Amino acid sequence: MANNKKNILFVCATGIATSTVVAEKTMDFLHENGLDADYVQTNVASLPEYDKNDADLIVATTEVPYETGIPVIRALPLITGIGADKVLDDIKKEIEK
Amino acid sequence: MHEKKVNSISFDVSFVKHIDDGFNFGQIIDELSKNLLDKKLVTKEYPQAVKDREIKFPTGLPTNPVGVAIPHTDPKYVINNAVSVAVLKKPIEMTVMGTTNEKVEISIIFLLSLAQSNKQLNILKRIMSVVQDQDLLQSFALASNDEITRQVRKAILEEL
Repeated sequence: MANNKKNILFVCATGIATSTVVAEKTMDFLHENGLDADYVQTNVASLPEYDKNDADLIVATTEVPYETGIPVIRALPLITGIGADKVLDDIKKEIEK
Repeated sequence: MHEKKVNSISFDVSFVKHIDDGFNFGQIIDELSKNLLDKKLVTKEYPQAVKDREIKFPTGLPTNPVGVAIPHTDPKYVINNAVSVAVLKKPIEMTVMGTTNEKVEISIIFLLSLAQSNKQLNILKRIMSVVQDQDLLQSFALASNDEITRQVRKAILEEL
């Protein structure tokens, strides 16, 4: 059961800056909670290349102006620290689905 | 993919500026970029690239009471990693990251000049911890450039 790892797509404008911070925080949190996921980081401009078969969840610090069919969680609170727990909880729920 | 470790990031008192009333975002970026260009840490296109990118991908963070922005741009304009700090005498209005029209008053700007290899650096994570340290940020308004340099260095560079 646990082998069915979810895929997370961490998205920011460049795919290297804020998505790195968000990916690290999220993965640390998941591991602390005994969960795991596969993930990639990408820039928002390449999002149209992705669909539901590629990822189960998008965690983005930018707007996501595309309809990919993948649920999106806004990650800004993981950068500011304000409301971070709620965001991590939302991510956890998606991963546990 | 590349395990190249680049532990160099440029930062000293010349990267810190108090900005007087009346400067807009673009002028503040120009002001901070002078030093980066002098030291050949960024390309001459860098300041404009930061300004353009801020319009497409705003970086204002709605932290309270000190709003912080973390402008940065494509690594191709960066020759070597650096961080610059602007402490604004009067806040400017910027757009919140991940939104098109939410506004936030920004008092401190961390201009991040990140080369591609920065992915392995923890610099961003540390800057984020500074962003969340409102007591420290509030002290910047009245602190000297030397003091700010010392504090930022302590917070983000110490273990590099």
